[in-house]
Amino acid sequence: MLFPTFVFGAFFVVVFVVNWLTRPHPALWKPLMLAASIVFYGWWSWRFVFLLLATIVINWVVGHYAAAALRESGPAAAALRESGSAAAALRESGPAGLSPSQATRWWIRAGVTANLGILGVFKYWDFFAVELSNLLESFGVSGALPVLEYTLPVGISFYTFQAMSYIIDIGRGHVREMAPLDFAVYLSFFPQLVAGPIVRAAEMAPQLAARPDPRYVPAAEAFGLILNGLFKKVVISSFLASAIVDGVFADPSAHSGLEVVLAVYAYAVQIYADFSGYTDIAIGVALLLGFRFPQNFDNPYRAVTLQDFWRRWHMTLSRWLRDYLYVPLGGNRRGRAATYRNLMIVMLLGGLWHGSTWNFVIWGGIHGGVLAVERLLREHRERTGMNPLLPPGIGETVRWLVTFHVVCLAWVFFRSESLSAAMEMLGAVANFGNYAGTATPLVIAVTFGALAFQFMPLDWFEELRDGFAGLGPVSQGAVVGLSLVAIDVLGPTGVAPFIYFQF
Amino acid sequence: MAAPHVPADHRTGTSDGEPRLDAADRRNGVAAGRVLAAGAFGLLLAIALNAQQLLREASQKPFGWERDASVAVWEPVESASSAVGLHLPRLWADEALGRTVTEPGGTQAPSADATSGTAPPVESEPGGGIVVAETGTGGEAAAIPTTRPDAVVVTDVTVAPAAAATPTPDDPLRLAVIGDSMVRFFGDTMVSLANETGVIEAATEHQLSSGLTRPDFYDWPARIVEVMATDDPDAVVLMYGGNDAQALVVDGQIARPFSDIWVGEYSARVGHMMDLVTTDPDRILIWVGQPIMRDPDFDHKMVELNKIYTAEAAARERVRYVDTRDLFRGPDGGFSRYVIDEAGQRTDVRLTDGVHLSTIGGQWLSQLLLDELGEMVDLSSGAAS
Repeated sequence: MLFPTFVFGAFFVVVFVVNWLTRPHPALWKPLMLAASIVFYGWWSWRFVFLLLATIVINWVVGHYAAAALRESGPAAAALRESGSAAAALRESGPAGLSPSQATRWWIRAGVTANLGILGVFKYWDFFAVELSNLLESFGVSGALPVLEYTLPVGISFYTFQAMSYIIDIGRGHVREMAPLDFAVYLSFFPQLVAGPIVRAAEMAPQLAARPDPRYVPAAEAFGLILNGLFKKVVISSFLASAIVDGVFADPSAHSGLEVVLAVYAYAVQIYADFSGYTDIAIGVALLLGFRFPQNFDNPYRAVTLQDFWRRWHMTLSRWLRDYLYVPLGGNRRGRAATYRNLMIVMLLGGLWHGSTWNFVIWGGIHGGVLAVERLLREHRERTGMNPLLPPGIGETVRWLVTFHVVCLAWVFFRSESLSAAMEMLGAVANFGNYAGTATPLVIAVTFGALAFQFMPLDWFEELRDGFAGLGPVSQGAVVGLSLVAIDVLGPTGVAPFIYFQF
Repeated sequence: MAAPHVPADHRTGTSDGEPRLDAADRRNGVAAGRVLAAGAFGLLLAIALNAQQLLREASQKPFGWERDASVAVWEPVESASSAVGLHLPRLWADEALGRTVTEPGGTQAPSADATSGTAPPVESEPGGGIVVAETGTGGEAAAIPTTRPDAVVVTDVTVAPAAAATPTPDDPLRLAVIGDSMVRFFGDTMVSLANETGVIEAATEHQLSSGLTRPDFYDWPARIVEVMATDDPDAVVLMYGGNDAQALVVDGQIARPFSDIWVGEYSARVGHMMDLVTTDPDRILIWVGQPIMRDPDFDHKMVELNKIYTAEAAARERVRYVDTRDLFRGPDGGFSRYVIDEAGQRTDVRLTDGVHLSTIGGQWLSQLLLDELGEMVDLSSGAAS
């Protein structure tokens, strides 16, 4: 079920009513919310509902046994059990946290392996089988590995990452074991099921236990986010895709260098509008149901370093990679070389998270490499006490320009269908002539306007929200209705699925 | 367009994600019943203003209970909306944006914008809802050869006469590559490869989710007449069928797919399209058959359609049917995303939906079609010859 459709609108009206009527009765609310999420997910393919349910069962069982083993593992765990608060337990046991038993570790490893196994079968097996077979073939060794050719289940990377965070956090003592139904509702919760944000159990569990007050639904904020997200997706993203991005990436040699550069900028805007649009809608929908998700974006194209970019882009994936990969690898605590290696590993795997192609690996490699270079330069400057070469204002602008273009360079690999296509795209930057007429004033205005918007003052959205909040229900409904029609009019006929659904 | 304009942790939770219901939430919060009233009123208003569009989309669904139910729901809403003139703002807006608007259920006028039509995918396109290539994740490996296997067998049903004039760089052959979403995934590649010959001037256009069964969604015959009149191509490549295994209307009656009536009517439509292209005696037509598909049921339907294309092409002189099934057969003879190329390497030629072609697959098909064209027309004076 796609958010920007009438079917979802009708579905959500029903879910909204059922949610607030049954929320005071958790025994009723939880199965109904689980059913709603299954209907939402099964709308694409009912077969993959079974995979989702299997993931829920496997991870709950693993979490259950990991938690049971942890309960046996000492006084700190007892503190957790007694106080019911992970934070309190951590305070009592010191900054190092709890020390899980070997059994706990075994269960966590088993759980992580199971999740990676599911991801591997559906997402990575064919890639490695084909690459290995071709490599062997080139050495004259035949005997190809079988390929599975499974359809990629929508959202599999998101919910398996959430599941892994749950069992790892249990082992770390950061979260308590959830009841089976609570865990099922958490992992399948439809607003964020297919494309995030990646919400951790520690964020969701308290909200599942709470009884939100139906008198205080933050409607203005929620409607603002939903309409903003729809506008980004239906109008901005779809327009740029059809007006320039798809055409230029399909045949860069038929376009001028300027058009190719503009198409890359436009894709930067398109993917931001698409993904952050989805996130806005997901957060808004969750707010209307009484849940508050972590934010996923914070004007990423304002970033003046790549590190800054990753604090603003897909923030929930960034912190997942930081907490469950970078830090366990040693982070920046084991010397300079190890830090650079860890950065590269994290970003390469972050690239592979998006998909099993060399293009995503290169995308991650560019980010990892530049993050390492940034760190090297920063450390060198700090060590030598070297002053910046440029005055602060100019230096900031240059850093922004460099960061933005590194991000755009990486987007070329992210968007292109193959390595050769990416190289062709980059080569076409030097095309003189061949102007195909895609760089229309509207395309230029939308692309650069959207980028400029990220630097605008922050007040007007709150003012708009407050103004909306002050309206009566009829006026609010009129604003919502007219906005929906305006978005539909401005968008193209039919809307492609969100880009991140495929990850 | 930008993210809402307050720092992230002020908008939707703290940066570490801890939920909170603070004073601001209480101040800005309203009762759920009021939210429902506002939201429901907003949706109803949007429906009323948009009823004509909703009815149009419903009537363009594949014939069946789902379409009947949707039309039954939206018809009275549209009548009521139109009766009080609530449809007019949308109409004015569409006109202001230069969009052609038709009555619901009527024939849609041909559109020059070949990328704008994306009606809901029909049942005959498995996985059509998620087109992975939207963002370019075809999944090719590095440095995969783009050559097609030599073993490809092309089914030539008719031997078309060579075009009268031999194209030259100064007087190139005008080629039009036209069709449904399949063309989206090889049309640009074929144009690029064709233009590299130096003696072909190619253009492509496609319409997603379109075909020959539902002229109420997109009227291809009308569009073909227009293209032949305005562009006057010397050669045309057509590919349809992926969306055509659905019911169609014959004399006001709905004919089930592959019933005798359906086959008769669909054959007539295919033949009509071929005739529209070849009315000019100097023009030649290549009709591209459907490749092997992953879903067995869908593949069986495509085989049946290919039989119709083969028969209609055989009945006409300047039409050549090109079979594509062998080109995309996997190592075991059935469907596979990964086909062995002439270098013995597994090559990703299909998208994950099991229907459309990857970039490499598009290159293979384009080269096959250009080879076919080269047998019909002397392209030897080109740069790539």
